[in-house]
Amino acid sequence: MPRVTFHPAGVTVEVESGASLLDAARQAQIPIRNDCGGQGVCGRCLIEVKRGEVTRLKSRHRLGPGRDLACRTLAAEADIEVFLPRESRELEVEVTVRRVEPFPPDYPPPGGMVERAQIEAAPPSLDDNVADGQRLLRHLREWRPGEYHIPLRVLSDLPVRLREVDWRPEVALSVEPWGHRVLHVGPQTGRPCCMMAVDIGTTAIKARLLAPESGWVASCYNSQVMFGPDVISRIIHCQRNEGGACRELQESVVADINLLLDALLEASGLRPEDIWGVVVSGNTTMIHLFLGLCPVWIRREPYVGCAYHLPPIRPKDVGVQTNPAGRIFCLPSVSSFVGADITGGVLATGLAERQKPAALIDLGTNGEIAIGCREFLVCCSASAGPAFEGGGSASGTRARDGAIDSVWSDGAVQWKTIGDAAPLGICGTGYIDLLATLLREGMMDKTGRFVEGAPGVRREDGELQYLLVPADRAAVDRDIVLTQADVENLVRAKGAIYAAGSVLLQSLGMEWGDLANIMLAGGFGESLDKDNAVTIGLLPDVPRPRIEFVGNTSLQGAVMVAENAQNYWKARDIAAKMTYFELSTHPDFMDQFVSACFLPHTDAEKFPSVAGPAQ
Amino acid sequence: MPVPDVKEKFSGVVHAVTIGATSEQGGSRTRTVTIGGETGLPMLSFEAEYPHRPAFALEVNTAGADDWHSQARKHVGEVAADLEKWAARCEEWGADLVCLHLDAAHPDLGGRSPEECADDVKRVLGATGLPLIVWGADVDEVDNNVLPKCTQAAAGENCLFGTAKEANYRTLAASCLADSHKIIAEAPSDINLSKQLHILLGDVGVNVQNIVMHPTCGALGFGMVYIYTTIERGRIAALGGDVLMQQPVVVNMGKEIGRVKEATSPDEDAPQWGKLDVRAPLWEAATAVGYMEAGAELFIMRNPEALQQAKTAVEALWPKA
Repeated sequence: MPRVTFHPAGVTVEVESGASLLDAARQAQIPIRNDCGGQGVCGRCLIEVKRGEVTRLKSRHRLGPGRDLACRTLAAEADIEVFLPRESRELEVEVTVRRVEPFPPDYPPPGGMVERAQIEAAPPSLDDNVADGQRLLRHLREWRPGEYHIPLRVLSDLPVRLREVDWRPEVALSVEPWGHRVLHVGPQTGRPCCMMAVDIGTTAIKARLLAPESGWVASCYNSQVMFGPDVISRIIHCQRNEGGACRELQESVVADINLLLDALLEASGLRPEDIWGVVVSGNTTMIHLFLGLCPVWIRREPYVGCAYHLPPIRPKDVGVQTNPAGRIFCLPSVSSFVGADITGGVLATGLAERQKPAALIDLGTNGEIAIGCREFLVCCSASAGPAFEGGGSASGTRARDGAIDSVWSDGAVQWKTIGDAAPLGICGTGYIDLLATLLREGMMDKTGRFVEGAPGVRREDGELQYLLVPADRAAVDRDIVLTQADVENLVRAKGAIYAAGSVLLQSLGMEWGDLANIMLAGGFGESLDKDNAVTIGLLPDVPRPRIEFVGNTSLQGAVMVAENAQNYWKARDIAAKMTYFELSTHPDFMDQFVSACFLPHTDAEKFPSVAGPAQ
Repeated sequence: MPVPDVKEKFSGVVHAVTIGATSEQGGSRTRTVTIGGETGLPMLSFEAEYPHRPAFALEVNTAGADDWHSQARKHVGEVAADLEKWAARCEEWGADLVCLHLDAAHPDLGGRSPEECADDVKRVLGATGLPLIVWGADVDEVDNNVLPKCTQAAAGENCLFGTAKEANYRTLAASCLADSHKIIAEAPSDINLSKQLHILLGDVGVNVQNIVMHPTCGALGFGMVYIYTTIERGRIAALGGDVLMQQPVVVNMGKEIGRVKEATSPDEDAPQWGKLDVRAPLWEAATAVGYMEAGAELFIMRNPEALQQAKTAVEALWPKA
């Protein structure tokens, strides 16, 4: 079998002859850029074959000299050495841990999804000869009334354990639909009962440690990106490679979560056994892939997933390396394209309890919009792509230290990074500011096309781009730029969001102005310049106090569920009562979309505060 | 029982756009052509006003007519080598305007220099008194080099220059502004894209009343329905008061006719379709009349016989002022 070595990483893998070099790269865990899932369509998985023989399939793309597409190049018999040019190297897997406002010392409060109860049981006697199991149940009901269940696994060594601890056990419990499950019985440790909340985004994964005095949040890119940038391309991957691919994607996301877990544990000095519960949020496809459920019917008419309400599972069912006796809970999804992330968002923002209708816009790769109040809840999906999360862009990055999150002009274009670190790239809010600034300064026109000759605008490889930070001032070894292709992606993304919201409102017989609040959620920045978001037409031109940037509400929702089991039931109610609107078949959507792919909008009168109509 | 009044009143009006300048107006044209000005949907003489008839231009091409289909070439073939003769002949054939296509500037068709192209414009202006439309080579870089010279060469003549596209509008807009010409805004079959382009042109100083829009086009049997509905929807928006849709519409249809087999296949291929020499002009004329019924006002054609047929149809159909 031929061996393939990838440079500059220097990783070697053995592959079957006839395997594509894209598959080889995946096997080697080398994230390589591709948007079509390896079908030879996107032309992004560029490689240079430096040594060895390969079979080249026909390609529709005209590539530079010495360049091939990894997906259209097959290994032959001989060993191969391949170089990955910079433009095809995907985002590196790299975990960042940030400190946020810490929890109080007595955290988590009672009533969470998992808990530990310190029990002082009376030892059995001839007068009180109830069985050990019933005895434990009796004391648990004294601790807190309710239904309890001790599974066989725990019963099997219960007598020994109770006597070992002299009838003063510590009992780990989890919330189940029918009551509490006894997860573990052991000695009183005095250690906290910690949990982790995870938001699995299509592009980035974020996890928060729920422990006393912990203020740690870890994030990394979703390494499934190497199988495609959006949910559709990942589903296609599953479909093409049958059972194995689903497993590949599951392993990849679980590995990411374990990396985040390690980082959080290291930062906090806790051990894996301390983590008794994990609450997971994310879009429907991400949850499917995390659980290893086959997502292929999500993209086939009539678009149904395997399950939206999911049972609690054991960590080893998926391979998450927390306490093996612990539990993992997934927030419920609404439909195939409106996931647990929006359920979490509605929970976190209290949308379902408001008096007056408001909107929650989740600006994720798989964007979603929910509109409602305590009377009604409707939602739709609006695939925005990864542009605002830094995916697929020349200098994009997720919100982390060193991400340029704010841009303005005082004559010259200025910027600021999160944590004031040396700039690594541009995150979502930075892109919003940058577009608005360049538009206002006349450096791009209303379609987002750069004006040749404007300061900072230059031509690279035949394409116009704007140079924001030269390499010598950046923390990366290349210029931080905004390319014309980036702008197109951003404009399409914001167009999709605005159009989806407009069509959803139209279906309700409402207008943007009828909403008491418009909340923008997402993990793409620290703070949002509302005027700039309106200037580019991402958000409607409503009085600014109505606009609110609410951050990663998917993660917030997961945290709320973890710390209070009542919220778990609330989330299930929310998911059950939300009405889903399918936009792909809506006759007006395409028209609204094209109309919104302009800065701020083709119908300028919808944005009176931005600019008057032409003439 | 009285007959109810079903007349529809619209708030919007299509802009009237005048092409050409006579000597009093600082040019050298013997007449001018005005299109647009309608206050209602096409042909509804009982409820709206139609102050200007649709206008017809014949194409004159700097690359000659060698690649034109036989039925158009049979008319223009003898003059196709001489732009001046060709342009002069258009007037005899009944054209309202001449449309000079600068195809020879295309790198694959000889790459004629901007100066030579400007000279072509001057010679055509000298050879005919009809108002002039000038159409670039449809290659952005070429047009950006060639068209500014041509607008200069035609300064004062109030020509109609095309085309400005979303990806390439600044140069042409600036030179049309500088030399006071009208401009064709081309956006492929989508109202929103047309509006966006008009906004962009407005942003660089073009008065939207000086724009004629080209929604692109296809011949009958070759995607005409898409363009038809685009024009129709655009016109309804215009009459409803959308100022960014109130531009008259030009369709550059001559070369499209050569792409449909019904208009070009020889008699023996499908005898049931009738004689080619009847079929070809009829096809082009029918395409023009179809677009006219959608709302288009200016037609750029190739076959003089088809132009005459289309004009005859307009005489019969167009509401009398």
